[in-house]
Amino acid sequence: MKLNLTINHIPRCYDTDPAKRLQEILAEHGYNGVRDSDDCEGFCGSDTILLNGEPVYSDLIPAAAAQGAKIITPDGLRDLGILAAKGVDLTEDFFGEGCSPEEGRAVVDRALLLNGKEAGDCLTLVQQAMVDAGVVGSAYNAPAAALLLTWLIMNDPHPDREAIKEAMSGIFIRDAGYEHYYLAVKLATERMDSGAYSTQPAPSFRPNLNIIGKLAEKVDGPALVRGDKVFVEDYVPADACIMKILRSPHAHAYIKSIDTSEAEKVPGVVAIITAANCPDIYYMQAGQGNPEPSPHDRRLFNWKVRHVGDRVAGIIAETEEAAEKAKALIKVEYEPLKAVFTVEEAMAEGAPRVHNGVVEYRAGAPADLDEYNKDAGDWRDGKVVYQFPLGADIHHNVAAGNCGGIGDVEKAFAEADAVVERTYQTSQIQHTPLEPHVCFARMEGGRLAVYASTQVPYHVRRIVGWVTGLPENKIHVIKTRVGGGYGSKQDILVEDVTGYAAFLTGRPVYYRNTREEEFIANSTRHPMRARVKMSGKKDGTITGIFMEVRANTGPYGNHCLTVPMNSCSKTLPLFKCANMAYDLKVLYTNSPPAGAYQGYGTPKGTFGIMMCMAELAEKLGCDYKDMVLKNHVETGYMLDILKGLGEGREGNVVPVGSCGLRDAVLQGCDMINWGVKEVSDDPDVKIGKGFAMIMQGSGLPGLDHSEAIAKMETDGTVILNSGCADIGTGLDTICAKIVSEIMCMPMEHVTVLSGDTDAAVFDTGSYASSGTFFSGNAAVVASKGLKEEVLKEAALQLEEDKEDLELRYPGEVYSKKTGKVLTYADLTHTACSGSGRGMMVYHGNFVTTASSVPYGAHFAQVAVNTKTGEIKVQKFYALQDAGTPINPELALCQMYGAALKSIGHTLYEGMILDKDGNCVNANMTDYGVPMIYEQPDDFKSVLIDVDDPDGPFGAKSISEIACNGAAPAIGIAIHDAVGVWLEDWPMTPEKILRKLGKIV
Amino acid sequence: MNSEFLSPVSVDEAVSLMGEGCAFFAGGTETEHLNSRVSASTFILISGIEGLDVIDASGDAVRIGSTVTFTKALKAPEVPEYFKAALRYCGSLQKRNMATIGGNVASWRCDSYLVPTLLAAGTQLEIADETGCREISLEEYGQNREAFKKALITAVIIPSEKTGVNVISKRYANTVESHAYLTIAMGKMNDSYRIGLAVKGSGIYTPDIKNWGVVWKMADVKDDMFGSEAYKRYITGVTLDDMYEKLGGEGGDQV
Repeated sequence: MKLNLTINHIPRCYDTDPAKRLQEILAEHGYNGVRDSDDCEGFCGSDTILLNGEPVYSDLIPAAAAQGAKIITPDGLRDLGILAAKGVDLTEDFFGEGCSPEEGRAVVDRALLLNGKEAGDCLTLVQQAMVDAGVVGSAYNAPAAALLLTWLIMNDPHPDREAIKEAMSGIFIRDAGYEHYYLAVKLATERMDSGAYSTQPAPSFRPNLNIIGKLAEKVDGPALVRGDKVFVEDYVPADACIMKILRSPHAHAYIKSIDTSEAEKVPGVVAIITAANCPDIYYMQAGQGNPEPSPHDRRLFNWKVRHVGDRVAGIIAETEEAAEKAKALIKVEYEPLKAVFTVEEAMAEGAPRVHNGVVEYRAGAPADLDEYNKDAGDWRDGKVVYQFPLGADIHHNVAAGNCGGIGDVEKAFAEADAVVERTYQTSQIQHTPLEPHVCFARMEGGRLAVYASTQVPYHVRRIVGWVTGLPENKIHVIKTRVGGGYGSKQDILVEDVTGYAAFLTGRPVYYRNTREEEFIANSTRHPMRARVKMSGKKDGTITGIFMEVRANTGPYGNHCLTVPMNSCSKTLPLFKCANMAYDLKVLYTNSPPAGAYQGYGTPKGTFGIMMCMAELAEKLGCDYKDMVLKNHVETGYMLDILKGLGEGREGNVVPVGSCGLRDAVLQGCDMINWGVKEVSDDPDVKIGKGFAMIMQGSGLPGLDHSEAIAKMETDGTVILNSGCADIGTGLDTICAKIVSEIMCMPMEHVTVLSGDTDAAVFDTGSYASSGTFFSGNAAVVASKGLKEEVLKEAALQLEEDKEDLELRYPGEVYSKKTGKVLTYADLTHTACSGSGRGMMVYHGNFVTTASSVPYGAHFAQVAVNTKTGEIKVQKFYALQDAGTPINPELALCQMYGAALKSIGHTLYEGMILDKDGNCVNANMTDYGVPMIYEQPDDFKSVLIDVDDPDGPFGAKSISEIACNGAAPAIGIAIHDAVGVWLEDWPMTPEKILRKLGKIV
Repeated sequence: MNSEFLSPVSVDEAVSLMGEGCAFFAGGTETEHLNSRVSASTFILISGIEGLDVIDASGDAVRIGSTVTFTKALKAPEVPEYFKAALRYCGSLQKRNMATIGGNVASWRCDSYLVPTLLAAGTQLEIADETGCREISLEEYGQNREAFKKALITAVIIPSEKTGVNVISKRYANTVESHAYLTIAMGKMNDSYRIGLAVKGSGIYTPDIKNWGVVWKMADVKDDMFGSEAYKRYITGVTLDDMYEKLGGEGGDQV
């Protein structure tokens, strides 16, 4: 059909299939702000457009139903703002023909007002307000959100909170939560009305500094909010082949045979990769330091499938249709095996072995390994290769294990006034990034280029190198903007096979997970069982803590040691307790794969340990708050417990450094009126309060490693080639601010090039809360080095002593002795002239054994209906010591986003498997992520001001820790409300009713 | 893909086009949705038919055309508040802008936003098929779905608040955007009570209150990802008790 549309004020005519979805048509024609996150589920809102003046999901509209429509796309907003400024009447475009309100033109023009900046920085005021409010994080949905808010302001020039909530009701925001969207609307309308903000978007820190701790535009904010081409999918050329993956219908089975002959005959099929023809190379997908504390227990395709959704074949074809057709023609004969899905099943005597191949060690092999391997099973099990011992016993499905402690817990328990022992269980959680896992790869000049949405570009390069056999100089990884990661893009889940496919075929290859594949074939948060035993004295002193952790890693061992280790290493050090012990085991099962997830194992450990403490306080007759204050660590307390809690090696025993924990607890208690019982008007509803102490880390001291090269260009501007991987959190902005602060120059004269393995230098990547601390410190080292180079060069050019010179804003060298001034532009021009000494460059390298630990406390007030079991989080306060918040507005939004996410984990989220291992809720609607209506009405994030001695300008990490507090805070609040302790996630109404004895 | 789309301009034409392999298409939220239950080789677009998007209040009834969207109905002052409460169960602005009243009724989903409330209110449907146009009760439509599969719903007719009708409803879902596992409504008019109940994975129940106990006892309620049978039965009971009490019923355990 000929489809006639007016898109962003321009008439268009497309020859298209009438059934083709409008989203596809728009995306194909370059309207790249119209994306897809949910495969036509009508949920995420990435496909939002205005159709004849109304926001709709373009995924759910066939071409035939859109004939003649007036459409506004998110990526069109800025240009429409420019048109409106030129006097073009856009009323009908935004309201539909004949539907304009009386003052239509004026409201359209007002809502499209521009920020007054030029070219690439030109945004509408709504878009600018979103950047300034800090909500433009990973931002896959930011353009659509900007469109919705623009539409809202056109229809309601001064919307209240309810109106904003309604406008944002159909869009999923995982990164920043929704709280600062209210702020963005406030800022935008203030500026529309008066030309300036009267509200300060976020507090300011460090008055002695010019840029650090102050509000500044996120460097990638304009491109992200405008809907520019910044994600992997935007780099895919029209001639790229499509790869589809045939996945296992069985949870555990050998592949007896696989016949691809018919599939290969499908026109357009380029190659099919299976266990029969893939490289015989064992590796793992966890993006961790090398050698990894994860077993190499898989190939690209295995002869044994270990979960429903496991890879069976990769089909590379010239079209999606050909790939799907070929996929359906592959004949696979399986030999099903008995499966195990829980740690209890995996640990049972005689349980089926998920891995039953030969075990190898690259270092530290046990003396009886040959004897152990005599019991190995079928050759199709392959092998498991450990880089060093991790306490594994795959014959009993143990992928890794560790135990240790300090003092004597048994003696402590025996001598205590009270002991509480409980077992806590957490569910399997999906990250649900809006941008699914996606990769594009092609050969470029004999090298393999991999366009990746990743947290770990250098680990991607290493692992793609392993599976292709290419050396690292032959692989170029380009990290694009990342549309949400939350740990899942720390794992190399699609880059391995996509890179190999491009290398094998010599063709450009594009791969993108469906939303269902995100659930069944990705990484998830480990389901975990934590048994906590805690003892105390009547005065509230905690005398002993024991944690037994049994984690379910699923079929492969990504992060199998480090995630559960964090459940102890980021919880036990909260306590001044002389007797603490832990016993960790990680079990292979046939449930969907687990891996890294924001917070690693800490949210689960925190849930157990804080709930147990609250119950112990009750048993001892102590006030919970008093008990917290009596037992928490303070600066200088030596953390002996850390000795055995390294990540596969001995941990660093260090004293507690800067610590805002007590301030967070006390301030939070004041905010929530701790100790005051609230009463509902509804007699069936009981209100309770709870809180939890939390901590995390700032990267991995002794393991993480960051580098950056600062160079002054010939006009005096600076480019920082950083190995960092900004995943939407604002890390590039942090690095730019650091350079600006140290070099005394405007941020716009600093560019950060990061995430490109050709253009930058090594960095372990963005995980374990390392970004600000490690990559930021690398930027500090590089900038300070560059400053020295500049002063040295200026001293030579000015013929003065370096000690008499200083750097001055806005980018010049000043002589305190002679008053002479040399601009960076003049300085570097001379240095790079034919007779100069060359470009000023400094290569900064940062490693450390110092540990800057962020602390905090999260508070919840809940209302529980005793008749129906319904739980409403009325208030949630997140208070965190993040050291110096370098980007305060982004820091707050990360706290909101992570806290809302963990409220979701606590109350709504959880993958559910049937008896055969099929995930029955592998979609957004049934899975149950929190959206704006689930956000607490009273939601606050507070930054506790602490200046850390080791962090860059005093900064620590901010985001992961914010996942740790919700479960225990809400669980303790539920107990305060109705007197029952819930010991597992998600905390559902049915579980409340069962605990209350209303259901048997 | 490869579907044909037809655009009739009248109800008669739309009905005449209806045949094997055909389906009516209004807002798209059901037909285009991932894993949609609707498959057809020919879609008959009804959103362009004049008169189907009209809301009309006359006498004791409010007639809502079948292509009226949730948003339009929410904005209409004529639409009773009890029905608006059900419309708001659709938590997404974009969906409310697309989904139509007729589409939601016709899909007869066991997690329907509207059907339980409409049943409890004693709703009439206006339908058109090859035999012409007529009114039937929503209950009849639900009980004889096969008989009406080629019929086009042209309007729903609900009692206005002037009649004294009082309908209370409640939706139970994991989150606002999740599918409901229970949607419960109870209506009272002239001392007569009606129940509308949608149970995910089980069906839609339309009993009057007198035979409610028998119907509910026979209902096939399952343990599933939304909760156990015991939980769903318990919550249904306490909710109906609560509604009965709020509607002025006497005797807390009657429901």
